[in-house]
Amino acid sequence: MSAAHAADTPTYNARQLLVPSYLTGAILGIVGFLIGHWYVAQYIGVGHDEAGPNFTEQALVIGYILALVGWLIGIGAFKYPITWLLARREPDHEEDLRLAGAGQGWVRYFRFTTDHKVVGIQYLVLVLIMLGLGGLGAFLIRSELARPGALLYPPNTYNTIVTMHGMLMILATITFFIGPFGNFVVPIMIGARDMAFPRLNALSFALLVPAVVIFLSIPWLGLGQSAGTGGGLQTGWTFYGPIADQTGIGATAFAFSVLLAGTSSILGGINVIVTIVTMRTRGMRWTRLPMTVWGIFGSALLVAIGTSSFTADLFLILLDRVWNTSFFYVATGGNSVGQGGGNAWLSQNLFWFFGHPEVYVIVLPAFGIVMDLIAIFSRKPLFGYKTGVIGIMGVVVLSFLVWQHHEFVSGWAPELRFWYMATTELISIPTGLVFLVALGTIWRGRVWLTVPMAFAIAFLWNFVVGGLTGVFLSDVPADVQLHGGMFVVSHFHFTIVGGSLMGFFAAVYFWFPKMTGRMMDARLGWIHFWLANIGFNIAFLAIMVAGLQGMPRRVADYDPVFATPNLIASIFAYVLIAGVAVFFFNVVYSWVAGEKAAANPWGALSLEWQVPTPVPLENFEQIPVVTTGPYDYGEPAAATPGIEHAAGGEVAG
Amino acid sequence: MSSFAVTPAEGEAHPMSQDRKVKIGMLFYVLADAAFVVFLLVSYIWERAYNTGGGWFNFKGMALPDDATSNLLLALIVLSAVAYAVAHMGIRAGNQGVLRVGLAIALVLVIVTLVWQVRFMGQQQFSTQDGTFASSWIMLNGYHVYHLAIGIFLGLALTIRAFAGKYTTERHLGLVTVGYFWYWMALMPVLMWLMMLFFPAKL
Repeated sequence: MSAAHAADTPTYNARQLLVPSYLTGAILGIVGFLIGHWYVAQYIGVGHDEAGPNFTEQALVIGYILALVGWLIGIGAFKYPITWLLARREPDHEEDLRLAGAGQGWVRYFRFTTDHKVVGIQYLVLVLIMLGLGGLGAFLIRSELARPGALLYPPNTYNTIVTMHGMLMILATITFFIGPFGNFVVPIMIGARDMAFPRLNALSFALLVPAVVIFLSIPWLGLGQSAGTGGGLQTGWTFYGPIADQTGIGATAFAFSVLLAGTSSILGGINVIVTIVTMRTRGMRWTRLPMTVWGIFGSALLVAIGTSSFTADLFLILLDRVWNTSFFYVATGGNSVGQGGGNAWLSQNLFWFFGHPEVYVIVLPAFGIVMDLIAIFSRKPLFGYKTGVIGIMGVVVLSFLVWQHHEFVSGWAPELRFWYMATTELISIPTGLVFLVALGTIWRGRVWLTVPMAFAIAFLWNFVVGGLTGVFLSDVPADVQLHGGMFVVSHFHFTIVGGSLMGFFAAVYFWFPKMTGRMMDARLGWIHFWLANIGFNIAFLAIMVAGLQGMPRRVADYDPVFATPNLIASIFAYVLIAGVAVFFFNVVYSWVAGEKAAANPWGALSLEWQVPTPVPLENFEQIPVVTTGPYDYGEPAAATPGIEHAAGGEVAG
Repeated sequence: MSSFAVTPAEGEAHPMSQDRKVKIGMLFYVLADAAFVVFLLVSYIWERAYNTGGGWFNFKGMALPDDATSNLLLALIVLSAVAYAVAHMGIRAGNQGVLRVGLAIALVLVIVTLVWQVRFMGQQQFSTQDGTFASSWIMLNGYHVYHLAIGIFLGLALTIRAFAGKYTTERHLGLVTVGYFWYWMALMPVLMWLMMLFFPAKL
């Protein structure tokens, strides 16, 4: 914290730190849920004729809504809106500092805090928990599929695990760039003191927490009831209506929690967009933005505009389940829960209109980060800055024009197949531009092979495999053969795990010193790198082979003819999981006992590395004025890794 | 070399003003909400077009929503937007009286619309269970009610602040940005009205 701010730092007693906090939020959230559930049971449910076949769903949703209200009251999120409503005085500087967590130590991470760096750390920890639990799901899936006929769990339990793994990983990966890095790094990179709307930023995270908690409760909802209508969730992550209308009560929790997470993403995306558009410091022209900022900007645009179709889908499913509407109920004439007439293709289209851009929500920030890291660790100016930007923004535009390729085998609008095949294949062009920039930058560079650089290179390899298999799948005749099989599973994981997750690992290793003040252990990092990449590549190449042999996806058991590739896939999936476990250990170990980090250990030129570590509350003593671009490597001072730069180059500790 | 230079004399101000930041933020919020509504409207058109299994509307002798009441509700919310615009013009001209009266009228019109809208929905002979037209009609009107509820909260705050003398000719950012939402709140039923004109309930 700067000297000016240190003098302003308020002090607190224990009560002031605890009220309001996430603890009071949790207490009021639980109370709210109980009141909502009790109210429905008391006045709509037992003994009342109005109780429909979906009374349990109604009780759950009303409980969730009141839990959300209780949570937001408990953490103090309504304080400012009420103050504004009643036209009371605006918060003064001291109140702003308190809301930003000044002088609150570690407790600020458990409060409704507006400092973008605190919110970034909050996101990082939550995302790591989600990835860990999603990884546990992957372990359970591969254990089931290791041998034919294993049946470690009943098929319904397997379906629930697949659904939970799929959507939890999607939620985590959608969040894992915009959340931690969009918050912590982007404002500093563009020379801003905070996000455009700090309270909205805190609210975005505060909405994600109950979303994740409700989501994680799904496997335990409806336990003991009959399969199909009872426990767990059988739909898969796509959650199509009318399957989602007809499955157990977990689907209601799914729809509500993902709707909440979607709202959180939209608000977060808008905040990132407005921050980048309006908060750039003087001299930080659009042509001087680091590629990371471009990637996150493109991703935020997709989130803000595209998520609405998915939230509309979830909203309509929720109405079908809770208030007996018929958006997706197909059967007509005397259905006990509605008259029907709904259309299943509607759900698929609403889902995939966002579902495909969502892949680019996850990938675009990785594009930007990888281009940045390659320039930094090749000690060269970026090859083709504008080409990279055109690549990212080209993907943003084209990503909305390809969704029908997910429905080539659904029977909907076969006359559109050719056009969507063409647009899907077209999207490989802007993607190729990004690869051109990355490879052109490495070419003849003085490569400094650090752990983050290694993960950036791994991204390139893995994403090429994911991208090329995607070109096969965009081709109608090939897709008709491969669509329902494990080939698609392999393709998808090469883009998201091999691509984006490796980009995330690169980003964590790279910015961990700035975020925590400590270096991540490089030896553990290399162990993580090799285990994860060898494990991942062999596991998913084996799955690809199984898919080409004709193995269907979404099955708990399979024909013994597919046994060998599945056994190989499971063994190497364990290797991948072991590598990720090393990563988790490394994060905890390095955060607690890692080597203290210099302010700019990588010798990078972008603004976040020019401020001290830990970063002061408002980032800069004085707002900087940018005079050159972020990629002027090759100058004498930038040629040597690990140098300290003149401005703000202090060593932590 | 470093990628930036610090020039203390001109370092603090951002290139864009706080006002512009808030305006752009509100515009994006309205844009995201409008995108959501577009998908809801598309759902209506989609269900009507496919009419799966003849399930669009199970009439059973039931009447469709009354056009006259629908038009009157539309007129009320459009009038509310007009009153809001007048209030805005009033404060730009430095007239606090026009601001306060305009906002109060806009708020009252939204409250009346909300109460009447809910009553109108409750009077229909069909329920959510009566096919996809009923589902879509109730869903779209329900979302409009949600907009009205938000509008009441915002309108109440603006009116209280206006009577507290918080707005001046130079500073009335809240009025401008809430205006984006207010006009969108009035535009949504216009879009619904147009949709019903071109894609009426009767097939």
